[in-house]
Amino acid sequence: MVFSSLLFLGIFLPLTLGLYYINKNTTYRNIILLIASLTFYSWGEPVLIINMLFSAFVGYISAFGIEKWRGRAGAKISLIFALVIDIGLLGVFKYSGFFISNINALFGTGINFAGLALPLGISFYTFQILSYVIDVYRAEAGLQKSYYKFLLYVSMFPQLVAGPIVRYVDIEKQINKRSVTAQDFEYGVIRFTQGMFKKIILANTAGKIVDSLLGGDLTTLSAPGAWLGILVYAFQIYFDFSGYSDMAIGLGSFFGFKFRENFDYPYISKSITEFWRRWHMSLGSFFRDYVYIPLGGNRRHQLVNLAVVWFLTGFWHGASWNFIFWGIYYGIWLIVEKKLIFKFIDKIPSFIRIIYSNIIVLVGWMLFYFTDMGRLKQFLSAAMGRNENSLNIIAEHQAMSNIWVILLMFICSTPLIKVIAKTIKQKCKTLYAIILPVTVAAILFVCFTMLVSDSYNPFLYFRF
Amino acid sequence: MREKITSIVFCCILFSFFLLVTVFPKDAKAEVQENRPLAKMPEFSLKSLFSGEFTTSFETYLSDNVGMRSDLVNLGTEFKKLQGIQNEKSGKLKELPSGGSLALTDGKIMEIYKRNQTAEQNYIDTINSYGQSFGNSHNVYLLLAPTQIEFDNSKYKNLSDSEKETIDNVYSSVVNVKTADAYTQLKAHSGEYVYFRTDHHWTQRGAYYAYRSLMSTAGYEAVDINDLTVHNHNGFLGYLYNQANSPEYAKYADNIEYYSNGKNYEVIARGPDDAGNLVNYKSRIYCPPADDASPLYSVFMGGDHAYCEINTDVKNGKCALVIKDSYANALLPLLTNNYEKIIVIDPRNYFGTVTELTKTQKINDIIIINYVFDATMTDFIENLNRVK
Repeated sequence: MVFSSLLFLGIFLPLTLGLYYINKNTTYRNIILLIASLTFYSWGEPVLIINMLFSAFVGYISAFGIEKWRGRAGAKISLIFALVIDIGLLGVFKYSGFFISNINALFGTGINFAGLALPLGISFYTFQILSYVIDVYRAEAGLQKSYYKFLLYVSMFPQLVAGPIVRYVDIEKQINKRSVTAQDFEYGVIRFTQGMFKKIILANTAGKIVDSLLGGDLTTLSAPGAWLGILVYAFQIYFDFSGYSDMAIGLGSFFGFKFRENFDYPYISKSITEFWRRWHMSLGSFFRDYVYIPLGGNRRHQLVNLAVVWFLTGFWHGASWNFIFWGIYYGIWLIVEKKLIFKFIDKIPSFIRIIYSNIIVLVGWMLFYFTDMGRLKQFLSAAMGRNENSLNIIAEHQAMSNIWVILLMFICSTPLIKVIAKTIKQKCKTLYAIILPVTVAAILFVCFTMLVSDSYNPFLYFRF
Repeated sequence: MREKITSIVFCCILFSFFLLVTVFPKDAKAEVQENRPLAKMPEFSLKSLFSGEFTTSFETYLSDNVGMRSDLVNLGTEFKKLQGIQNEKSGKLKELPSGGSLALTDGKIMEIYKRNQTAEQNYIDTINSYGQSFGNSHNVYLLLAPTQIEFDNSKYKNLSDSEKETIDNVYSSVVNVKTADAYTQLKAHSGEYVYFRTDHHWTQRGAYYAYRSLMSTAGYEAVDINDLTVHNHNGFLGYLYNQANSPEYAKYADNIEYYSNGKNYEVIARGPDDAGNLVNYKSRIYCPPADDASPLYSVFMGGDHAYCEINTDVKNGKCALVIKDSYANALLPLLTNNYEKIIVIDPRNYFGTVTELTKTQKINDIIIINYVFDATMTDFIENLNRVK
């Protein structure tokens, strides 16, 4: 199930909230939340849910081993057991098709295997399970003796399919005891509505623009079309992803959970290093804490450590070479910044630094968007204006008929609205008390209307 | 205080969504607006659940049956207009969920043609298989009709691939098949009202020029359009109008003209009814709408029939078998001036074969009438192959 659907907005969320709030007992609430989460997951994956249950069970059992044999070899064996099985499952489901096709390409073998169906959210829940097991091993998290509570952590529907990657330590206490104040609920409303706005109004619109510009024949694409396409794609991926994170944080807040932030206006970064501190923060910190630092961090062979982390970051995003290149591309920029650019960057004005970092990021999105290198090449030639018979009409049409939304995308990439809202809240409380609920109501209504409107599907009964 | 108000507003809105999705009755206006029955609650079975079929159809069911659907759809269209600057004079593009796109400009809506080389080759192979099987015993004719964007002068023309290239390629590749040059005729008359503004079909005037090219290929004398009586029906809003979902184009509603020699022949048809059973029924070559109703393209022939026959007063012993899509519907009535008997099959829902028909009926001419988009449509080509 996805958040931006009538099923979620019209049935799942009202029912879950209603059932959750009719009783204050935490065990009752946990059970409601667990049932809701498993329903949420199995709606789209009635079979592959078994993999999630099993992966979680492996993590849950291993933690017992770690606790029991703490300080002895058994603890390490338990840890390795969990890592091998859970990463192994991720590898089989997500990467087997990729490996086989590369083996076929390298050795000319003809193994006929297209890969497996990818269980929803596997990249996220596997990392959550691993963070728990490793934290228990490091004695940073306590042992969770109850499988259902552990499963609740792994499967909790707000963050299940698209993050943020929640650490067990962050919600360890909240699983047993939590409360929701009026402030928490209101915060949840704000964040959830904000996320809906980003996803349905900004990201979905951006998605249609991108499809029409970059999804078709690239040999007739004009240079303005190419640049508009990739720029809007940068907005699409940011608003889609951060919108989901906002909704997750908001939903978590409804149920008394506080998740860490996942995005912090990445497009106002003044360097690539800063960009990665603001983009998908829960993934960055995961790799930092569980890969980079254990490998030696800044202290030992830093370059190798960076290479490993950025290879993994790229590969985590998808089983395709372009994602690996995308990760390595960032690894290289970060090293260049550390060794070279940071020596003089302070002398450069901020707005030039923002432009610099966004250009690097935009080129990154080109690598990210085109999974097919042949198409990337066609795109680059279009972007440089080398298409002789290029047509500008589509770009013109898309730019004009979406100009206000595109403008809104620029605005929403900066903290402008947040600053304005904060000022009103401080200076004029009454006004804020009126604007806030009205805005929430208006946004939700428009989002709902757009969802219905997008399902408009006239029958092709006189197709011929 | 403020926190509570915001939270209560949120909960009320969520509850109203809940009511709209679950309790509110379905919106009958949406059925009219979208021209289809709204999805029914899917039947539950473990098999459909595990295949994911149930959950998908259930979500379609929800969105189809949401309360006030037609109003919400219309409101959504209004919201989308606010996303940017709409300029009717410079026209606009509309991408369709099915993959194609429409150009809305100069008071008309046109489908943009995208050539599909693979399908085109399959189409040629299919036509050639007709030439091979029947070309020695019968006259096999092919008429491939262009659509209006081919003769358009706006900038949107550039977005469309050349239909002429497809027609030329098909015509030069077929063997044992005689081709009718409708293109040149339509081009020469493209200043006239030969295509509808809100529909993808040609008008009967357009069909007439194509008919003339067919008759000259086949060696018959075409009837003179000036000898026919013209009938008019205003207010036709066609398929493209529905697809474009742009109510401002209602003011460009079309006028359906039909040209009659005074004989509205009976059409004896056979095809599946709503339950899928084969039934015989009757229609006429011209089915004008009831007085107060808006006309539809089904004025011609009463729509598409899987199989139908027309017996005329032309006592020349000639029988034509027409294999057609709906483009042919406006042309078929004109053929009643030249053939004693016309048998028509629609490959999309006819389940017999041309081979059988040539054995049981005395057929002189086999005429394939298609519009150029058919050469891009894999499923149509498959059907054409199947009924051979």
